[in-house]
Amino acid sequence: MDQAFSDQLVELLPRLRRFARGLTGSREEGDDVVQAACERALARRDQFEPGSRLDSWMYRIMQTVWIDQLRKRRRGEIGLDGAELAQFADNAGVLDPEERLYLAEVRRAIKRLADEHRQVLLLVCVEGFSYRRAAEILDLPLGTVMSRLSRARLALGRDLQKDQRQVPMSVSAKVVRLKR
Amino acid sequence: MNGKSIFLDQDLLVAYVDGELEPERRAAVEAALLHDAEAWEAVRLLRLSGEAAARAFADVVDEPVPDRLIAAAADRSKIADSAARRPKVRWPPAWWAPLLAASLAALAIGLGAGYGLRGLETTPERSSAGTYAPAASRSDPLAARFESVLVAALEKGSEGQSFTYESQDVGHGRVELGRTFTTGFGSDCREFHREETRAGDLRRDNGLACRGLDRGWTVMILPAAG
Repeated sequence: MDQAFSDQLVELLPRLRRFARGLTGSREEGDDVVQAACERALARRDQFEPGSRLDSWMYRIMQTVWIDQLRKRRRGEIGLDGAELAQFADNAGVLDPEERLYLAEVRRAIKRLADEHRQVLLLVCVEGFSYRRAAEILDLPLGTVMSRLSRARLALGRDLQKDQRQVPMSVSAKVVRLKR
Repeated sequence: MNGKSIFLDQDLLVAYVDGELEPERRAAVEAALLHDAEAWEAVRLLRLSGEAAARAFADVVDEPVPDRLIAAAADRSKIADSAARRPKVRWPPAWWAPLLAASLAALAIGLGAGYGLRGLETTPERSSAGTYAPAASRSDPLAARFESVLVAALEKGSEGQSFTYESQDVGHGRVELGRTFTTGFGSDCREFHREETRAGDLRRDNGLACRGLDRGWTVMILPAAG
């Protein structure tokens, strides 16, 4: 039983890391959140209702751990960590350089969102949860999830569009810009 | 426009984009969108940002999970306890090993590809003979760690003794030595069991290592049943 619980937890790790990476914007901090969440989950294993979904439960623990850490740091102190955000997903060679630049910019733009907006965006768009399950995980009314999500998405969309206008995406266009 | 047109606020639009609406509401939104350029623009942005966010973090799940997280999730201390209480590792039936050993060469060459049998040679001289080379270990740090631990265990370990190995950010594993025996034609062989966790996946294998005339080990590894 314990073994099965742990096995499922280990299986979830890649997804939990993805969520934590988005929340914190950094590999190190994200993994710290995942580790703390696993420890908390194992310590409170008896509170998990068998038959309910372990992933929902873990995502909920993850976001409370993250909020705790944010409070501890009194916000604002967390740097943008732009360099790491720009390069972490370097499955080099898989993506072309333009796509990599673009995705790095997307991650920076997501990092600029308000914490509670980013959270909802990640759960729905990255982790693929339905609105209803995102609402359960965050313990929020469905309407709040929708309004945060729409605001996050519009803000991100405008942000990306603005960047796209400023930074031409083709290499030749970039060269022209540099010459000026 | 006939009758009441619904008010396209951004919450409704995001639900539309994400396929969260009932068919009826969906149709109503689609109809209203035809007359609302501003809402169309919002739909475009909502789509663009959702897809961009998904792509931006997609690669993370393919990264190897750091050992410290696997240890935290697997609650390592407790598992070690239960493993100690568990009866001995299950080994294949007694006939399996000598049989395998007796037809080692035939198996390595004849069945290697077809049955997922994996072997490796521990002496470079023999790997040039073309049966098997530990090619994986050159690019795979965990496999390299396994091989060096295995050779040391085979040389010096006693029956039932286990050895652990790990590679930062790739995974970790454990080798437990089983019986030692001599085959009918005088080859010294040792059984072993391996448990390896790689990127969160636990695999169990049984292995057989037989010493060749040149004192090197020929190792066969088969996935453990169950």
